[in-house]
Amino acid sequence: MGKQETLDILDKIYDQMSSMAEDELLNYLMEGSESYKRIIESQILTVKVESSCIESTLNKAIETAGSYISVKETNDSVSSPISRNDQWAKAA
Amino acid sequence: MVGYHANDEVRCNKFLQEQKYLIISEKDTEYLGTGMYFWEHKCDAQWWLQKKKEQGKACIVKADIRITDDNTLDLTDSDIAEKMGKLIKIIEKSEGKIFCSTKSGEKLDCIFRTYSEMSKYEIIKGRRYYETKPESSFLWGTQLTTKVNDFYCVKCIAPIGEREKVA
Repeated sequence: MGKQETLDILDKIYDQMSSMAEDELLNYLMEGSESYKRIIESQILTVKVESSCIESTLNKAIETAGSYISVKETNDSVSSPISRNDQWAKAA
Repeated sequence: MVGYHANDEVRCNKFLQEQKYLIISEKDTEYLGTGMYFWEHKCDAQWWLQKKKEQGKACIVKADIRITDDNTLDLTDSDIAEKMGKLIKIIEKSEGKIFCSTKSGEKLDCIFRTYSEMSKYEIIKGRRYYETKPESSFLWGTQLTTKVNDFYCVKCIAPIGEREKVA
């Protein structure tokens, strides 16, 4: 089931992509990246309101940051969600 | 399966001590995108260990990784790689607009971020060919090789189990 399900998912995405005009697809991909950032930011914001303890706030933010990120390195980029979170935590 | 990862001592220790920590580099845009990379064999992590040791103290950690048909996008499967290739080809039309390089990891990340269907995959499995990797003379002139290595890009903490320092 696993492999067939994967093939079906990739087919579905391909059908979606190939039915779009080039500009439309570009916008869609850009929107995907932007909404991904917004989801992460909104989740971190929610955590910020809910918790007053920096350590537990960071842990909650990490949990809610989604399945792609657990903890990211903070020393070489200010663009990663956790880096922003870390900066916020330091400020708080 | 058991996976092996070589990195600097500080990050390896953090990985061993903090259950929610994965060693993820912003620079992993080349192969399978964002995630912590594991080798199937300890000897394959040794090469990276030597490279890391040039910059300071380094070690190898191993971890139990729960790999299933459902949580793994297996790009060593020709059928799946073929279909992913078709997606990448479409994505490449946007090259320079969404991502700025030709690296496969950026394109995979773009697909993962855009399509929620992909979020079920916690791991991507890949395979790399090392043309210059030395191998045992007993393999010379045969169809057998150790120049091909499978590796895993773990994208979240969920499939990671027990961890241990091994070198």
